[in-house]
Amino acid sequence: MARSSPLRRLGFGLFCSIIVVLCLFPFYWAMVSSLKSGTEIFATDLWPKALTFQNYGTILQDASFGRSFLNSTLVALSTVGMALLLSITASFALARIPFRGRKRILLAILSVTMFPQVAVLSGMFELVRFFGLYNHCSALILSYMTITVPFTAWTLTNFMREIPKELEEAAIIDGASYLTILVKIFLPILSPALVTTGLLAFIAAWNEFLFALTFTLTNQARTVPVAISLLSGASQHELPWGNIMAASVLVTLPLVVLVVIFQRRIISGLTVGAVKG
Amino acid sequence: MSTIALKNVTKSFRDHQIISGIDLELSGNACTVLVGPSGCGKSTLLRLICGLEEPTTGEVHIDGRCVNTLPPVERGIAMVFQSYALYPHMTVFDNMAFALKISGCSKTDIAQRVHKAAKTLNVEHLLDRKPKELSGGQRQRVAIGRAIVRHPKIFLFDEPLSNLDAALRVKMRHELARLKAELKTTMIYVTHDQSEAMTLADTIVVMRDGRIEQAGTPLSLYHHPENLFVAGFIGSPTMNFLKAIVEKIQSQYLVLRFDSGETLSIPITRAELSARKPSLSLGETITVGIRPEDIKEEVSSTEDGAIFSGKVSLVENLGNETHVWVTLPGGATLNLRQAKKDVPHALGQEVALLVRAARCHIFDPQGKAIQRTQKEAACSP
Ligand SMILES: Nc1ncnc2c1ncn2[C@@H]1O[C@H](COP(=O)(O)OP(=O)(O)O)[C@@H](O)[C@H]1O
Ligand SMILES: [Mg+2]
Repeated sequence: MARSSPLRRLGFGLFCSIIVVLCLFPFYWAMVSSLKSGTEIFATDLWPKALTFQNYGTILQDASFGRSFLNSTLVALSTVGMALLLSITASFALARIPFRGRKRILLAILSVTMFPQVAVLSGMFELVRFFGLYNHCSALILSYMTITVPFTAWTLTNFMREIPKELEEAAIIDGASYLTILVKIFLPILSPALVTTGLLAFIAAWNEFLFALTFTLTNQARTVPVAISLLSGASQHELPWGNIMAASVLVTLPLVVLVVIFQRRIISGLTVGAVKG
Repeated sequence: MSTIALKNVTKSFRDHQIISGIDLELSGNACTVLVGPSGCGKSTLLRLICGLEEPTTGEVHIDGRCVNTLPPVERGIAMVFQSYALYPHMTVFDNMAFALKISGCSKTDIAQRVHKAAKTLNVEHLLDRKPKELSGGQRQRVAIGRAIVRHPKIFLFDEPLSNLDAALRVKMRHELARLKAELKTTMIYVTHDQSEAMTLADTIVVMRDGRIEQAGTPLSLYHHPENLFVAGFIGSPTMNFLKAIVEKIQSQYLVLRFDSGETLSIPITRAELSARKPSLSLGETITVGIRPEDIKEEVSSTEDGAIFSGKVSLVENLGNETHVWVTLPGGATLNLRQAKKDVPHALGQEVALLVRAARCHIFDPQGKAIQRTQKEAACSP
């Protein structure tokens, strides 16, 4: 490695660049397209001749889009909140309290994550109808939990197992109840893991399409991915690509902001110094 | 000051019996040290006492009350873990205040108690730091501080110094001795370090495979080990063991013959001999134990004993004393302790050693000691 020739380094650089371009080009294209106007959108220029924010204006003035944006926020936040609450308590039990059938439950949780969404779609639909949640945001929250909880519970269980047993025992001797141990000891130590899994759950809920399309009917309950797919132009045969691209960029922004905010908290090694020297 | 009593306590994990029938009573301000090889169940015994584990059978009593079903916090016990187990996200102050906060102490009370404990342990200037910003020794102090702020009736220490380097360990050992005198509480201390056990203990309990081999004062264990295991475990360098055959049993003496041909007559009374059932018979192989400091090099000595000759195979010069290992023709080795003033030995040198009969320990074929009163008298030089 030490004596890699310039040629090899050049090759490596080229290889990396190709990967980066391949990955980022769709995003770049969406961004650029959203800044084009009219028929220019069908030109293959890499940079628009005239920058315009007209598409953004249209989207932002669209009341139904605003409504979907709010719905998405509500659904994603609720999903994350409830998924974390459920999976924190579940993983504490699964990781820390010995009981019969613990392994089987963990295995069941893992296997649930393997089902494709389509497989549970009709069953889920029946459930949603049964509870009278059709065309309600809560239908989405409920169904998204089936996607997120197994994943967050599984991940948090593994993180929670890593916490040294002595910490818990020291707290027990100090007189802490299980709830105190969970809230005062485990959660602060796990905060990087919570942020990471919470963020992933948020992204999954934010981008989900199939359930959102199936369980909602009107703008009242629609989330952004569905709303974007249903954007229509002046006539039936015209797709408003500029608007679609602008909307896509707009819905990606919250995710970017969240990741930027939390990236500093996604640090590992917080337990250093807890146990041993 | 509390009493702790274990009544026929056993503990099994699945099918493995880790603690097999322990009876033990501790009382007063005493420091009891549990020693034994790794995996013999010392930590498990400690966890049974503090309530982190429940005994499979038997009862744990504290101050005369059965505490089997009492949660740890209600037992009035504090424990210091080998790994410190400090809460990593809390400052030193919060670490020490955690138990007090849970028990509902007032803020001023907490601050006062934490500061007092911090002062005792010399960690006052560290109260705002997080555990990861402390050295090993400082972490250990904080862990001890966390235990003493609660004013527990009983302190449990599980190998608290084993993660420290040698110099720091000695220093902390002295501080623990000081703390022990200051706190005047019942202490149980687990270690596998001899010198910690000998210096801190009022009572040493030697364990092996989940059983108590012997319990007693440090010196009684040193001078009167009840079996081969205790004899070999207590004392450093370890006691020398030589196999010998019972050649004659006389009214005041037991005559033994070693593999290498030497004979040794051990003063022992008939009564002492017959204390061992079934009584020793001629031709049985027994073990003779002799501590390194009880082997002498004066061949001209008039003292009773056996004289062995061998070659020096290893010399450990510690400055204040020297440990010399001598290989006997039969292949056995004897190690002896030379005072500083003695002439140093060279490797390969031929030496003659006097094993003093009066100071020998003898163990029957099952490894149980045959105690003799004459040995004690001979112990004061
Ligand atoms: N929770 C447990 N489950 C199963 N085996 C255990 C458990 N705790 C301890 N043991 C076993 O008990 C034995 C004694 O352990 P321990 O008391 O920690 O020994 P020591 O502290 O004397 O080194 C070990 O063999 C260990 O594997
Ligand atoms: Mg141990």
